[in-house]
Amino acid sequence: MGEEINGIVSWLLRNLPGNTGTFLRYIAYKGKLKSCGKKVIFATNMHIKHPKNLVLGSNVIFGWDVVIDAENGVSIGDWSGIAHGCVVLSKRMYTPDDQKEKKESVTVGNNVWVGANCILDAGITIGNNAIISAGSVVKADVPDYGIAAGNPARVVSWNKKSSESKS
Amino acid sequence: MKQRFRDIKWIIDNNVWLTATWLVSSLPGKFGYKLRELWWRKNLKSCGSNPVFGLLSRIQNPDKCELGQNVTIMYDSYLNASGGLIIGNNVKIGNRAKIWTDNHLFTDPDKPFMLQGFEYKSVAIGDNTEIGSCSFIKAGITIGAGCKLLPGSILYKSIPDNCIVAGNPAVIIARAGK
Repeated sequence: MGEEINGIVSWLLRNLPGNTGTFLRYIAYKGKLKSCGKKVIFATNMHIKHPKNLVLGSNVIFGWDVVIDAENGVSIGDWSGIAHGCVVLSKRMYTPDDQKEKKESVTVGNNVWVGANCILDAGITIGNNAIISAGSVVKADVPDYGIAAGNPARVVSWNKKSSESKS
Repeated sequence: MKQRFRDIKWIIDNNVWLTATWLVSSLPGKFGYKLRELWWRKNLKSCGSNPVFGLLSRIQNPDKCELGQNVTIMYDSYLNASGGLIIGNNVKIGNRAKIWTDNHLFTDPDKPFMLQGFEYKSVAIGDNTEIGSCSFIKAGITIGAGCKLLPGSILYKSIPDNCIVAGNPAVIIARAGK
């Protein structure tokens, strides 16, 4: 009986919309994470696997239906946003023998916007002030100020004013 | 004091409305379909006859969304109508399809984008168009009549009438009816 009640409470907590739901989720999830900054917004239907390895900065925004698997460590910087339906993975499904030592943790910098339906693969680093376009599958590192799009994601332009973009 | 009271009232109203929408949208079975039809007919700007709203289908800012006749919106699809959304007759929107009508502004790259506000662009979808599952439509796009978006297509540009579209970024792969 206790298990059913626990399940119903966690389902309610996960799906409650509006400010009340966001507030309650912030209180409930904050203690479970490795570290969590202020004013983090957890939207509905969010799944976090292995929350003990997840590091969040302050003012992070999550959209609906975000899935984060933080088995080997995921860290997300301040003022970043992850939009609806994104999946963040930190464990590879298959690694060739010569790539066994490669890191699998995911690092997202400050002020990064990850668009809807993106997939962030294991072992990538996204620099500060970058933008990931919607629907892209990120398999390689994205530098600072880069705008990446496509499957696999490539840097298509730069998030800078036109005078600075040549550097 | 009066302004503060109004703000608190708006927050409570919004929370009650969102909770009711969530309960209505997650109700399974025939009764759920009937209830969703009644609920969205009350809240949408305009809605034709025979709409079908699937389980967990979500519409944000429904007061700016216009639906034609015989529109089918399937499981877990998300329509963001904050910039104006016009959907024609006999349109089918597949599972987990997403339609966006706002963009974040990135005018100053060193400032947090959350403090820079939004730009709103309207989306229009023509008659008899089918939108495949998991496809994504960006803000400011018009889709012609009789188009087919194959599953998983991510649309960056507007497309004319009678096209079949696929891929990421989506390109026209064939013309229907020729």
